[in-house]
Amino acid sequence: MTRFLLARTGVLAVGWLLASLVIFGTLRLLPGDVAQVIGGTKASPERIAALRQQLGLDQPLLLQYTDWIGGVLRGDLGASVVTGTPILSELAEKAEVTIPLALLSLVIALAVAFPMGVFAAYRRGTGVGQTVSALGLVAAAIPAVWAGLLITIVGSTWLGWFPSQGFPREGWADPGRALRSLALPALTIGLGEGAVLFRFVRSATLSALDAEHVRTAMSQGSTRLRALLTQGLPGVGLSIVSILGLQAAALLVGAVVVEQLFGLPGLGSMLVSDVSTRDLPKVQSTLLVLTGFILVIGAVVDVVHRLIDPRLRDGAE
Amino acid sequence: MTEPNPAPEYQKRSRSKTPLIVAVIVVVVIAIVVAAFALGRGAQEETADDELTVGLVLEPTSLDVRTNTGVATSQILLDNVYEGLVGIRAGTVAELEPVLATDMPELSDDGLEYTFTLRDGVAFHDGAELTADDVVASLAETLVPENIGFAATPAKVDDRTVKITLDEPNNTLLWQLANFPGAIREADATNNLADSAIGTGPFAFEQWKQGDSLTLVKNDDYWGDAAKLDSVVFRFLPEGRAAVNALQEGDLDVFTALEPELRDELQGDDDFALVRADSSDVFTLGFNTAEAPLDDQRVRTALSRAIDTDALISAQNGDGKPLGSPITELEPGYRDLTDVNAFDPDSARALLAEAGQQDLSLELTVPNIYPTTVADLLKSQLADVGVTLGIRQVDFPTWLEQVYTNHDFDLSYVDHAEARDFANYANPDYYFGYDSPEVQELFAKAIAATDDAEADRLLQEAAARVAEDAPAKWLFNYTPTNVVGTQVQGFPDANTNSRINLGDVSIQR
Repeated sequence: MTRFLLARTGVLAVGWLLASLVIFGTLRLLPGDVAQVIGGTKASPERIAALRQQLGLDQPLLLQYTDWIGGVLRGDLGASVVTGTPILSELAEKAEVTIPLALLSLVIALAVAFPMGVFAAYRRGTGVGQTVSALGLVAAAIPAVWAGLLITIVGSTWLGWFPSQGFPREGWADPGRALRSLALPALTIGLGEGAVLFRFVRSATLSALDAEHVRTAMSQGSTRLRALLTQGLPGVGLSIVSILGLQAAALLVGAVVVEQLFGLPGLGSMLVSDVSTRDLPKVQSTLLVLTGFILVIGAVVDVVHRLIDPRLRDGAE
Repeated sequence: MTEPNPAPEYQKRSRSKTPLIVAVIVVVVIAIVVAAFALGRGAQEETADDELTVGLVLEPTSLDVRTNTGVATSQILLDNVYEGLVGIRAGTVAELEPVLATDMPELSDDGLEYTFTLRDGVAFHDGAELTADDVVASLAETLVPENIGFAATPAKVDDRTVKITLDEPNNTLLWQLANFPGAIREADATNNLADSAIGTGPFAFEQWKQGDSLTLVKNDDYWGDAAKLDSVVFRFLPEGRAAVNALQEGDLDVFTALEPELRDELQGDDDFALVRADSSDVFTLGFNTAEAPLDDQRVRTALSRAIDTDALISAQNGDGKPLGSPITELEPGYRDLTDVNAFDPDSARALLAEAGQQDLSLELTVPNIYPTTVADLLKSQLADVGVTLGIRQVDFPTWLEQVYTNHDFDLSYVDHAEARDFANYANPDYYFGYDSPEVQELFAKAIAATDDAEADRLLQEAAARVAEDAPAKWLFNYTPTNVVGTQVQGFPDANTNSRINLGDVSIQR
């Protein structure tokens, strides 16, 4: 296990460094820069050149990269080139919206996907099972923007239960209000993700139903349902855990679109606005933190997978 | 196997059993949602009675008025937080009035020296008294040729008098003083100007939650008539749909510049008035006049005549006025020039034939902050005279780099929001590449004129000349729809795309 942990950490570190190069490089391919954005359509070329120098944009790229990554390794994410505010405090503020949003979405996704997936597999071949499967396929294909509009109409315009936009300015000081403002966006992401997860659950359950240990249990007198619940589902759970790492990335991507749609001041809308002002130091530090987060989740999922799957334990190597 | 296999039992598959796990998850989710719902019910939004919430489409990139001249920064900070020696009268686009100066300045006979007397008893929001040194230090930093295009030297005469000296007469100085370059800052303040602001206006800066909102509070020690509001929250809603929802939920008192497509959603709602605000915004289809084929005036004229601007304005749900030159009726130098190169597809086709361009293919570069309604319509109107228009949507920084800086484009579609920006047509390095010595000379004379009527006449002449030369097609003068709650009184009804002076606004709930 120790060897495994060391190796996994090594992979994590290398992957993260490579990601930093890709992030830095790709952002430098974007046309336009922050000096032009600040100057707008009134500034003279001399003014822009002076700004560029003042902001350090005229430094060689390699130097800019080493400055940045050196700072990050010392725990300094840098500051926004536009407003000079420390990036870490901005990230922490926006994470108060995005992390709860992502967690709530995940709970909704699992609550939708697990029962429906198991049900659709269990009733394979029946009308009800087919209908549920078809519904899952259709739901997975609905774009988040459209789903968000529908959910807003039902949850806000018709029922009037939840606000359709915004987040309380006081943040979590009033948790009920904060949670309410996340309800519709979380539903939008959660249902979409749930539809994707549903297909994984369904196919995992299908193969569990056909697996030898489940059939053995049935041949020993277990009902099909009891065999599935006691022998099959632990394996299904395991395969779902292993794809949750991937879903973390999907949840964050979902947040970018949905936060815009619902006017939430989270990481997603911050990224969009920072790209549009070309505040590249802020964008790259944000992306690097998110990438690190996703890589760590991936690693944790691997470790957990190893711990709960008896076939992967050290003795079995 | 030590145990013997039990004999197989055949039993009916039970259909009614529901897996425990399902029940648990469903209950947990329902519990969370209900809890949120129930908790939230108790705490309805409580806003102070005299707090005004204004929704804006754009958020400032930075609050530093020395470098950032974006419209969102001026909408929030000019007039409300920062003031100049002179300012723009609320509700007008270009009428000037004294603000931190007691009167409009005394001008020397040669038109080179402007002498201002400072108002007494003016204090910054941190309590420091406004002095002539603050004024001179502020202006020395921002009233520079890189910002205003000409040399101006501020100097302190005595504690209450400041003199600005020009190298050559220039009647746009006062206009510059009423805008960003004239915003007076405290010389000794050490705050980060990019994310805070200390000025002398009726409102003091309180807090900026980036990506969400910016809050101003009433300045109790204001030198003039105190503000009627206790606080103002500007909320940033780039998504028009979210803005409409926020209005309907009562989260906003005012929203400025509603997307024309969303007008219908609020039409007939008794809680709001839809007000079209006059503005100096000119949606401009710029031609790259430095490159073939648009260096040929016949081609530019043909394109201008192929465009039916009335149809464009209808597509904007009426949020616009026809315009024949870059100067709107609210600015000096306006003359109705809508009949120059008016819609005439037959003449457009004839001119294209004469120029040998019957099979013309052009590309239109459009920043993606604008809806594509107008661009799509232009494409079909130009197709009607045989011009194929490709539409390329880019983000705004890309437009700034490729079109504005590198002049790498055929046609460009943007909103020129600045008032009194005719200088762009007298600057051959501007992105249109329009180089007319005649216009440049007329403009130089106009800004040097010491007599307002003479300046106006010269500008009109220059504008007429530009309209004939067609370096651009002025599609319409944008009159954005502001949604103003009926509880709000005195919200300015002009120029709100550039400045929102809230000094006289009040609210009655």
